[in-house]
Amino acid sequence: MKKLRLGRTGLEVSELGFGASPLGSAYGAFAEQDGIDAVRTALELGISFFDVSPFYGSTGAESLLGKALRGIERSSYVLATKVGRYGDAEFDFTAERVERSVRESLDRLGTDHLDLVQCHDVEFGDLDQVAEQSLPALRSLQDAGLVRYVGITGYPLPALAYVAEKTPVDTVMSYCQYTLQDRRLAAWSGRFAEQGIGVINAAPLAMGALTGQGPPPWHPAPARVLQRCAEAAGLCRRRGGDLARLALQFSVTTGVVASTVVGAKHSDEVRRNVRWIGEPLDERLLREVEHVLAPVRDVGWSNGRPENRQPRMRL
Amino acid sequence: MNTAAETPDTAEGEGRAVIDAHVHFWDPRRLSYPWLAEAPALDRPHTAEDLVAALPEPVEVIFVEAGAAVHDGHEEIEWVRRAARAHRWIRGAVAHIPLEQPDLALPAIRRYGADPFIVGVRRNLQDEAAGFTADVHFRAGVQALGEAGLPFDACVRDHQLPELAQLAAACPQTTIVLDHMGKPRSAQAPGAAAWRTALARLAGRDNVVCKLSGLSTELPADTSPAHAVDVLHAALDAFGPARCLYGSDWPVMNLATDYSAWLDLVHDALATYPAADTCAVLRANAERTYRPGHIATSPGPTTPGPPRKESA
Repeated sequence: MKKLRLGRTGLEVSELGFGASPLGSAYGAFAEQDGIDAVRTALELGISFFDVSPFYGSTGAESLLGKALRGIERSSYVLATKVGRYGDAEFDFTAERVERSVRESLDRLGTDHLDLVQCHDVEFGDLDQVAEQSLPALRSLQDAGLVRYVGITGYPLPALAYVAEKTPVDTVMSYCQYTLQDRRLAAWSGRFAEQGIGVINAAPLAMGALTGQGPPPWHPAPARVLQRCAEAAGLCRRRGGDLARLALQFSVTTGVVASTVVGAKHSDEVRRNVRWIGEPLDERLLREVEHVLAPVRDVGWSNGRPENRQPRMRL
Repeated sequence: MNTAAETPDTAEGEGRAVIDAHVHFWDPRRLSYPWLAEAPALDRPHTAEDLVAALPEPVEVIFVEAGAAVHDGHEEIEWVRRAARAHRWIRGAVAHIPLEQPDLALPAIRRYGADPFIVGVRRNLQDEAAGFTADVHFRAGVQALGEAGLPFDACVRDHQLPELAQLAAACPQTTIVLDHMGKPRSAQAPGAAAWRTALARLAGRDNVVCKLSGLSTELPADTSPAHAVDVLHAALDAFGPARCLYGSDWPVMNLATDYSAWLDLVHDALATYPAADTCAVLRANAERTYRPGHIATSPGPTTPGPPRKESA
């Protein structure tokens, strides 16, 4: 497992990161022990970057991850969590809540410091508040030694860039935008890198859309995108391949980010993911899949507050 | 393994960031912009950060003076210079100089000519009476810009294009950048044919280049994209893609369109030209015209990520 430097932070993260949102059951029910085994397996296979949030499973994912990491040498992994999002429609980016949130996360994760704390899904908040209150609050916690680095996460890249231009951040994480279907993060990663920002890509399988099984019912992508993804899955199946494998290999190995965070709730999935990124990318299948997905390349969806989307005015 | 890491994805567009050769920033809380009183929709701060929030992809920009009150001209530039230190993608500034006033203009031209952040000069002409550019002092100012290596941004309306052609002929050493294609009117409006004729005549002066910018706010709101592309083609045909520069005129553009729609429209207009021409219009021509030396250029979208390192 390769390790890469995360921007100008001193952190080194595994090219494959462990996304702990499934530990909060976002993708269906699971057995707690399976989650713990998944984390342990990840550590054994060299995955050293774990990303969680109090939002996942209403703090359940943090508690379970904390349980799974108990007894593991603290310096052997990089632990990232988030602040500001606590429910589907529950957001609080005030300095007071940020500080309390970090202390709660420390408790649940059973540690005295967090390597990275990120403002979670900033497009649902007031971006100026994130820049002027949440991030300074995190910097204070950094000064206090509770937090090593601070970042932001979200879907719309211009909103993330806006916050990063206003207030320095150490990392930016977005999702579903460096995949077989959507490469918009590639254009922004150079700009973030110039600012010394470490870039993290999550959801390389596009939250299930780029898998043989297909997406969960809540998937926000337009139907025509999901339709094309389903066609791509069928194509891979006919070729004896697997769209998820190709998708993961593409996102991890074509390299515009420091780490690609992929969710897992079972050790079998972790083993499979690690095996996949060690296998060669089928370039011919990649081209065929890109051809199928070309009509929906870079097509996403609107996320967050209307004022945080790109203005669409026409008089 | 990891073969693809050595060959970063090049399928969807080689190259570097677009240079937007025409953006404005202003903050009416800081400086006075008299014209904003007549444009209430724009009368609030529009900063570099605000531009970023409106971008479909990262761009580099040339700032163009935004009509600050006369006494604020110097402050305007210093404010943008500070912004450029924080936002390295602000590559340079086109500053205001009252070229018709030699006592002010000549020292300012000397100063700006030696200032790497200042890449050009504008003295807005669009509301001046006929014959303004024939003034001997004004012409001396435009000629002095050429001697100082500074292009002159000419913001004129379509009826002023013949006058601008005379200015270009009188100042052959000065590069003249026609802002907003000379503000053409609708194809249906009286005067549209005259714009095409005058533009072609102006393009005959090889010291003139043309900014593909500002069109959406000039054309009627119900203009079809196909017609807007047709107008862009008229400018591209007249000047050739080697002498056209992309610009957005953000945030004034917000009165009629948004950043993505305009950039898409320019891409549509360029679709019939070779890819090298697209790169020229969207970046290289701005580099050549303004020669912004301020900031190291940014890596483009296909730049490989951070150096990869094997774990122990």
